[in-house]
Amino acid sequence: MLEKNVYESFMKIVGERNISQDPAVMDSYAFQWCNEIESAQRGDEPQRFGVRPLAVVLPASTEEVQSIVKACNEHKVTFKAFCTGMGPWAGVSDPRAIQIDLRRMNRIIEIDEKNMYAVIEPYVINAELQSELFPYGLMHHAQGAGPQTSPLASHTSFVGPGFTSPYTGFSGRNVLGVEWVLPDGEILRLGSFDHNGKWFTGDGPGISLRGVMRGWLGAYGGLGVFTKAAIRLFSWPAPKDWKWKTSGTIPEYNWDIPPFWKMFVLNFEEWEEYKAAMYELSDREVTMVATTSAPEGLAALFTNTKQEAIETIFAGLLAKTRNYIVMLVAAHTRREFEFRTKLVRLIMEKYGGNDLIEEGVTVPKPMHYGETVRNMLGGHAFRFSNCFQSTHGGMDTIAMAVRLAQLNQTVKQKYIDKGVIGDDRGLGVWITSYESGHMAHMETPTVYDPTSVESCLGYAAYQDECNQMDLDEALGMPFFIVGDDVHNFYAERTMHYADWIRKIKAAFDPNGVSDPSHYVKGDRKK
Amino acid sequence: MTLGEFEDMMDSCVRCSKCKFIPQLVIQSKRFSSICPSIDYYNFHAYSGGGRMITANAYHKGRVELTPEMLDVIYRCTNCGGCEVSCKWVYELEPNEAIHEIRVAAVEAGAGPMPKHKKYIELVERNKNPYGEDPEKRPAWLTDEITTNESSSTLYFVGCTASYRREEIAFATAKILNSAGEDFRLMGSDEMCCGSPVYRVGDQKKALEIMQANIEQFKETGIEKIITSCSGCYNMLKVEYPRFVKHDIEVIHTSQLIEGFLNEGKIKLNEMVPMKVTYHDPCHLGRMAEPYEKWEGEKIEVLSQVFIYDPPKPDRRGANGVYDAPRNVLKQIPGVELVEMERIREYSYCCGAGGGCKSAYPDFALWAANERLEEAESTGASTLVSACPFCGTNFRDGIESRESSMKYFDLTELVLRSIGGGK
Amino acid sequence: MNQTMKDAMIQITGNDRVSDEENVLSQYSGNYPPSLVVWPITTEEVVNIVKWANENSVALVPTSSLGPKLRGSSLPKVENAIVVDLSKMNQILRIDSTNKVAMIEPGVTYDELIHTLKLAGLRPLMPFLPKGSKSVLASCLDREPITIPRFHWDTPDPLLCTETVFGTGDIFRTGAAAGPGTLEEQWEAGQAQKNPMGPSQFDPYRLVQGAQGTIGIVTWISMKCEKLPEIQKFFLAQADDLGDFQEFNYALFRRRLPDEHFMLNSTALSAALGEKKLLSPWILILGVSGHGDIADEELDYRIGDIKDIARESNVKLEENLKDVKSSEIEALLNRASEVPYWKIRAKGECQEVMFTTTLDRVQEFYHVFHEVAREIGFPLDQIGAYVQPMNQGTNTHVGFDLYYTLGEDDSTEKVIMLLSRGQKKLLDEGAYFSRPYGVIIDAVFEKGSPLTVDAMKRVKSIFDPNNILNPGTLCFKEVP
Repeated sequence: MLEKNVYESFMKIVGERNISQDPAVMDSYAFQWCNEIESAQRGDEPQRFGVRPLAVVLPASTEEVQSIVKACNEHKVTFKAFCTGMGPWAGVSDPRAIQIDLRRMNRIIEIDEKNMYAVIEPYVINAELQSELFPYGLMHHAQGAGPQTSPLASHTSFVGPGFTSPYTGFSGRNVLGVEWVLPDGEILRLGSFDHNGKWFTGDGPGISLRGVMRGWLGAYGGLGVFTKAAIRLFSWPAPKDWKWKTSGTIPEYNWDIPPFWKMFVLNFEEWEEYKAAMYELSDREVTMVATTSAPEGLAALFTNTKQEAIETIFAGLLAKTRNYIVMLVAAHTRREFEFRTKLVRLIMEKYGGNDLIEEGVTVPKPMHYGETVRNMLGGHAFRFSNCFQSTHGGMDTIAMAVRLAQLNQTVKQKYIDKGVIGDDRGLGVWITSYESGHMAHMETPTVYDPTSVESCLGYAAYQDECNQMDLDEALGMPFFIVGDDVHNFYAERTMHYADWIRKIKAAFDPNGVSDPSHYVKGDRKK
Repeated sequence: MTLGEFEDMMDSCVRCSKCKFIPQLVIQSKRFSSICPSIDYYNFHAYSGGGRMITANAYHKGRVELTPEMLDVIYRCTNCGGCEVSCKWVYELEPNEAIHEIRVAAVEAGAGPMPKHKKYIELVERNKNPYGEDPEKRPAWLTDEITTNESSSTLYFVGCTASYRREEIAFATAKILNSAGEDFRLMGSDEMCCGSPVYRVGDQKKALEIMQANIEQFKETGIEKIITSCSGCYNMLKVEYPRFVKHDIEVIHTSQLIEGFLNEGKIKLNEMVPMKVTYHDPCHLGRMAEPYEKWEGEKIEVLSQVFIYDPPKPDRRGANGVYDAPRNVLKQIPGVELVEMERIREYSYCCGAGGGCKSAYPDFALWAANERLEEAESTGASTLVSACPFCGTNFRDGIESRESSMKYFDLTELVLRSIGGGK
Repeated sequence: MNQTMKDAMIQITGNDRVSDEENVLSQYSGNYPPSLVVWPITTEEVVNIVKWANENSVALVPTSSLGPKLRGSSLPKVENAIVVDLSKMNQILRIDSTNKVAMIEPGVTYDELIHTLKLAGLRPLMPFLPKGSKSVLASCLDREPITIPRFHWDTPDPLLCTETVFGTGDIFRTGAAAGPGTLEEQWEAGQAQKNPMGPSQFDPYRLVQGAQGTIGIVTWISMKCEKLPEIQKFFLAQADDLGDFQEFNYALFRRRLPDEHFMLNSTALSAALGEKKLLSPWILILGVSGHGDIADEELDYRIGDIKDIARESNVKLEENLKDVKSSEIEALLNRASEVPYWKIRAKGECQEVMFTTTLDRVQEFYHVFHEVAREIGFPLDQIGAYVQPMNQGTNTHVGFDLYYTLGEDDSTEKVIMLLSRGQKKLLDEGAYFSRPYGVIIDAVFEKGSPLTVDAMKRVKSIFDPNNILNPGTLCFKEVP
């Protein structure tokens, strides 16, 4: 329990209605997906209930967040803020911590149609922002975590691949002006916003403080609270009068595909051909989506239930599917469409590929086009066992992604043989390219059973082995290499990077109140 | 099911927050993206479908006790089932079922339901209705214009709200039945509450007694078919009763019945009813109206860690609610122009009245009604139509509180006007 | 001190790469002449120089480009500094055409790089007609805008990974280059130092860039390149007011259709072409290309769509203007300036003003600046303007060049006044000086919140705790 005066000081800020310390309410914050994996990796009994915050507060404004953070500094209480909050990094780690739930801060502050940026608060979700952008013919980069998660969280604080990454990039590279409550309670405004109230860039004057803000992975909420962010927008390739329209009844919805859109699933027998085609398709900017998964994954992408996915698998999809790229040509004009589709076919033929859609191996319905651009397909992987998580995650080139996929297969098969993770014959990967082929990343979605201790332990061991492999084989830095212990393990062979992050932490969080569990603890003061 | 039987399911929540929003493919705007009035009003995660599943899990595991705040968490929910529709897009989880079970557990532990609920349950036991009205006055809405046939095997089960609060619905229903030449009888002062308000707050024991007594009474009077103008009653009789008490009585909602009358030419919609309307899907007529199909079979591990059911388990995802019948009726009323809200059918936003909220948390219920009314107003319709007296009561309260120019009518009222029987 | 300093440097680099000769020092003179110039050729030498400077509290001013230096950011602002001239570290370390990337040392200049990249089927993303001696690496570190906005994804582009010697003397590889693994191991694994972010939870490349040498000394970078087009076509358009291009530009931003896309005023274009041309006040330049298979069809589709947009927004695209052919423009692209630098060639001297804004405000700022120039009496036809309409997909770079001749009609005084008053006026009107140089620096940092400066100083104290790197620059006034 927080001391009465401390609790009351928080209550004064947010009002009685917006603070709680009830154990049951606290448990709804302590419980997180993948806590079972992190607890297993620490050698504890796998379980989803983690550390319970001492209170949860629901601020409504930047000023309230600032007051909360200042009170935390005053009373030596650590804090962790989150938006929708999914995953162990969202929860608190310190027994004397409060959770700042940003749910009430959910405004779209501005959409600058011409200059193509939007300014958002933390709890605007991807599907909402998308809906509000379409009338302007715009879209944003929505992270793979799903349409119900926060683009602000992804852009300011977390790794951010998405299905449209070839076209919309990576969240951390699309950030403009930011309003940021530092761990000491000061409000830092990045870039042009600090100078003239406009959000069009987050960099300068001189150095860019985005450099301490997030890095590649994001600080996972370990360095203060982001209360507003401006993010880049992209053209939505549909006519002005097109509307996001659905009809029908769950799970068979219909969706109006804009003209000049066409999906392909290009399949290549060998990784070498796949790789050459992936480079060329990405370089040539013909596709909004370039996603690769396992054949089993393909079965889940364009079906609506687990049953359907399994039936598809047993109907022979696996035999006809090797290394494939799900592609979406989404053109603005007929001219663009015809050029792109022609080029896609040429590249397919050049590398001896075939189109699994044309051959009827997989049949995306119109609603699956909608799900693709609404970033819903990743969620389909949860259908197999209500649960999956990704290992690996390194980001650099398409060649590295392919090498990772190849090396991963035998490691994964070992755990499949033990019966502790889902059987995708070790082929389960997720690859996407970014920014016209300039980057790519590969992660390995892996199905496990969260209700089975054996499966949780097995998955945890598999993830540890993947991490070791990435270290030994120089395959980039995986996701979830965060927190002091894990950083130490990696930093030794990665230029001792964590020492620098610790200095940043110390400089910006002198009292160490911003929960460091998935970031770092600051250097001790000299 | 008990909480214990739900443990694996509750352990499997990934806390993804999908349960807070309508299925994400159908989101069309930021304003009307949410599905859950409770999380919208109270904001703490515990007030979402997933959050309640976690708190239920925590209680089951002995981590927490039924504190007053936890009871609020449990009961400040309309049990509308919206969370479950969204959740099931991806997961095999049933948050709404877990919410019901934690209520049952709270009652068993002596902590639930809430005082207001206890009070109306007493009234149900004493007066056969939760309003505490005189049972003898139940048929007070009945006028001489209406013909009933007490020997009919078809019962118009009026329900407490239409009997005592929304008499115009009872009247309209009876008039329509008469026009169509459909024989029916009433239970009159013997009609007992369907048990919905008792069941929904977790007093399973008393609810079961009511269900048994009602079925017994129906059997004794030779009832083969029940007509209901109330979505709550429909849901209880059609969906919940068969889980606990065997019966083979046909249950039909007025919207379905009227659709049938129109198809068969038994009534004619001749009078113009010139208005632009929008239709609210009551939860209990919509996503919650899907019967539980009994399933027997095996769970087979088809791939490592991946199980399927053989034969396939019937999905209860809200797809098979009564959505089209009321719309088909509305569309046939001359002069009526139907415009849809953004949240319809299985992802309709709850009116806020259900699950015991109207009595225990009137501020919340009224707020939710206003949320929905704002959506109705945004369509440009002048009139909100639904097919549930309880939704109707809450909406009328909302209209009054927000001084809205919007009108509210039950479907039966518009039909009555159009067949020439309305005022 | 100077002798000790010199001995120490000779110890590190050998005799040949240290100089304290007056005529050498004078080429590097800023507010003060340096005491010494040293030319390291390895990272280890840089490390040793930095470590020595820390131990002896001596300021270091890193520089890579040879003169003429228009901005003065890499010239000493304090006494007794050592200039660390990296121009002799001039290796192109690696070119990877599959991954569209080059790894280069600080002394590599554009013409060299362009030539080498061409052999590998690549071209660099580069600014408009940089000076011949300009270090590519320095240009990238300065966030110099590139002419092909389609590939300008994030502000730091085309800068990717770096090897940096921080002010502490620690070597650090930024981005994916940090590891795990050595560079050789990373290459073996298929990597190419393409991911500039990180490592992990910070982005040191964003701190080194724009720092004007105050955070670290960069010894190599990887940079984003693009495939050489098979076929290219250029289009020009003229307007009296930038507003006439606005609808067209905004529509074009969305589509990523052209490669080169920028605007010059007639003064700047004449200066670049080396002769006075009869032109409208503004000229828009578009380059369109086709690549690889069906390159011609790609070119056709891109041109077709661009022309449709031009028609809809009333912009007349022409291959040749009356007085300028597009081939003349093409000849200015993808290369460095001849010597003398075109900005100098015009009138003998040049001063630059540059800021960031959104496209819809550029014409307004142009007027504002002209207004001040008119008041001061600086000839308007000696103000060149370059507008790069899109950086990071959202904002616009504006550069004004003041061409003048020393001693002619009080022009030096007028330029000084215009730099001061004109930039101040722009700042007041909301121009954002994201890359501040010269007289405007202090006003820029005063305009923002004190917390921004404080946060920058916190960063500075981590990476250069003894303030040895280029002291007196930006808001970092502390000296060693």
